[in-house]
Amino acid sequence: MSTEQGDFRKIRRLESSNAFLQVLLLLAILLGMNYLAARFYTRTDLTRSNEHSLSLETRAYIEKIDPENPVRIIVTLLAKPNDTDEEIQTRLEVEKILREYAYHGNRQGTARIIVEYVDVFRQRERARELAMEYNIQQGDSILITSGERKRLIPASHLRALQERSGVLVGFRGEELFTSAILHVTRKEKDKVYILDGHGELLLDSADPERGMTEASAFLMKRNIELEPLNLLLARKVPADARLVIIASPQSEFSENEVILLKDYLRKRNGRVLVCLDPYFKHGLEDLFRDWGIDVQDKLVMEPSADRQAAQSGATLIREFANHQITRTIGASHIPVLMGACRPVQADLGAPLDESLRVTSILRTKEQSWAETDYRKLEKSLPGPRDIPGPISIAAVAERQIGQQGINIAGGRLTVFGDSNWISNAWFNRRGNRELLHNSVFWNLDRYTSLNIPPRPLKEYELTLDAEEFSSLRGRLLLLPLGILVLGGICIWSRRH
Amino acid sequence: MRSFRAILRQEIFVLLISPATYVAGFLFLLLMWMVFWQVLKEMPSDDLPVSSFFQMFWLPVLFMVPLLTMRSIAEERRLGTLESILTTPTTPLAIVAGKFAAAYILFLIFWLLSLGYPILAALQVPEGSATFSFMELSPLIGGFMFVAVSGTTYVAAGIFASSLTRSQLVAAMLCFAVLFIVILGEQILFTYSGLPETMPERWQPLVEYVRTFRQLEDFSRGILDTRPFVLYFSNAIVLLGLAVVIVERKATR
Repeated sequence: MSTEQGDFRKIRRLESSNAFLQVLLLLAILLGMNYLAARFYTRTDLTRSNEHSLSLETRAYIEKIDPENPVRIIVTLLAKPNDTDEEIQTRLEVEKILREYAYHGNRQGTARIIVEYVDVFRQRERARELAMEYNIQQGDSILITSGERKRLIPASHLRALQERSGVLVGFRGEELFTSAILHVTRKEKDKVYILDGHGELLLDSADPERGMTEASAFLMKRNIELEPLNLLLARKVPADARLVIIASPQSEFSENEVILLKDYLRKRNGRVLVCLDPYFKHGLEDLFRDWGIDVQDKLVMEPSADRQAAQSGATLIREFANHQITRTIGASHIPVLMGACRPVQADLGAPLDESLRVTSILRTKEQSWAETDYRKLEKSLPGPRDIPGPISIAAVAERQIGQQGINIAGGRLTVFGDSNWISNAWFNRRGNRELLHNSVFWNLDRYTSLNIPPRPLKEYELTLDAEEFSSLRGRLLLLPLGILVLGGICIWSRRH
Repeated sequence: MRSFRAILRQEIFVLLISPATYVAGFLFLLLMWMVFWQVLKEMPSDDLPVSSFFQMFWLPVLFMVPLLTMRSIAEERRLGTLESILTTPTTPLAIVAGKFAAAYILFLIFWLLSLGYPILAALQVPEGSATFSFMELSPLIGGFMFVAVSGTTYVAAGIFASSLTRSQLVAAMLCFAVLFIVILGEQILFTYSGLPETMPERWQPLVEYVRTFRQLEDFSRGILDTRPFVLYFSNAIVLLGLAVVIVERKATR
């Protein structure tokens, strides 16, 4: 009897351990399968036009990210109780699109893109770390970083607004995120040369009027290497020049210098940014004519509404074109503060050139005018020889190269009719920093001309009158009633 | 396999002739009617009505799955028929799989019927009254796929709960509690608790991996992701495996 009981106990124990092993095996399968699934997965967009997928361009750039130096995307968009619909929608769109970036950044289980969401109010410790490491001072933004490079994208830049009404019509996330990824994964530093030899603003001078240390420090922090260049001595534009800045020349350029600049722009698809002042002859007329820009020897007069600005001889510019350089400034409604300006506009008499596109990017108010006799200026009203406002005071000329429908960005010439705005005294005022930032970045292709349009944000509407609504409600109710009738028929037929 | 087919046939037959099935179907469709109607009333919206319709999938799931599964094994155990079945060449795996398949098929039929709402609306709404199509295929397919895929885990959880007890009521309550935690737990944790504050950074991918509403958001926009497939199928396999182990153990006691 006791042997039998012992055998039963043994069998029970064996069964128990067997069951235990089965459970362990099942759990191991569960963990193993999910571990692999999390690393190796695919996503398929069923929509006809792949409207939720990233563009081929973005995917190609993500493919090139070095897995050893992944891109980190740190999102600090905050959910607040009084969030507007636009803010909520922006946050949702960011989350959706970043899931696509994370997916395409994942290859063979290695993450090229790591997305992290940080609530700076709740995750205090992490917020402090971010502030220390990346100098993030504000929430509500997206930081994209890789190695030492970083770019901060404020949430407001993600929204594409209708030009006049300001209504949210699209989401610019992909364009901005991809551009930022390109920027932070770029290995080499961009070299920018600042011309001297004509009394230009000085790169290393702290003088408020004639120095530009503020601007140079600002650019150097953004991984841009600045170096002065005297064309008369160097006799060439260096091979590594990605951009040449001419800031406030006080004397004329020689013919040779102009030829060097022309060759740099035309033959090497170079980029030149010029800030001119009224009163001074510059000798660059030939270059400007070649690029379809007309810089006139006039002075822009503006009856300023801003008393403080008027007293300091400044002009507040609030009219911006929808161009990469000025779009974000216009969207944030921050004016740019300029000094005395000369008109800079597209040359209407220039020969027709299909590869050249000239865009006026800054304009003064309608009440302003361009004064011709400004040197002997006594009057304060426009005369018959003057040009009525609004006056264009900055323009960009860009050439497309290529053939058979394939267009590649060629040389670019950007001309501002004032240079005060980049001097130490003016640089940190109003939208001036952003204007220089955008101008330089655009010229350096850091806003690589991504052909990614904003994603339209749709609103779905149903317009029915009360009668149609009530009829629809009644007809939809037929479905549950139909099931009840079907059940009744089934049961009745079974019983009979 | 033959015993599995026999059990499946028997289960489906019982379900089809049972008045409770039609009452459950009626209640389910009535609930979905209210959801669909609410979605239409709240237009204009940033989401397609079909996407919003599937966003509310949890509501019927919480009530329907316990009703569909509570009877399956608990009732057999209460009546003592489970032991009788096991004396035939039927394995516990065939019993559990058969009962799961029957409940799951009914679950899918109910959901397929609920797709009648967008179809009816597409037929009834006059042309030009809507700026969208009720029959937009990608959210319809994606939303239904999510319900079908996640349904494997939910129905398996119901079968597992039913295998734990002889009481149908206890099985239903247990199933409801499990589904509530699995589906709505993360929403509650993220909204009302200080989870993000205390959660280590390295746990973020794990939490993201299991967030039901994130997955649903993708599927109902027409994006299919393989991760939820593996997650829900593997969970279903484990839950059904546990149910098999329990049936085996109880039958030998």
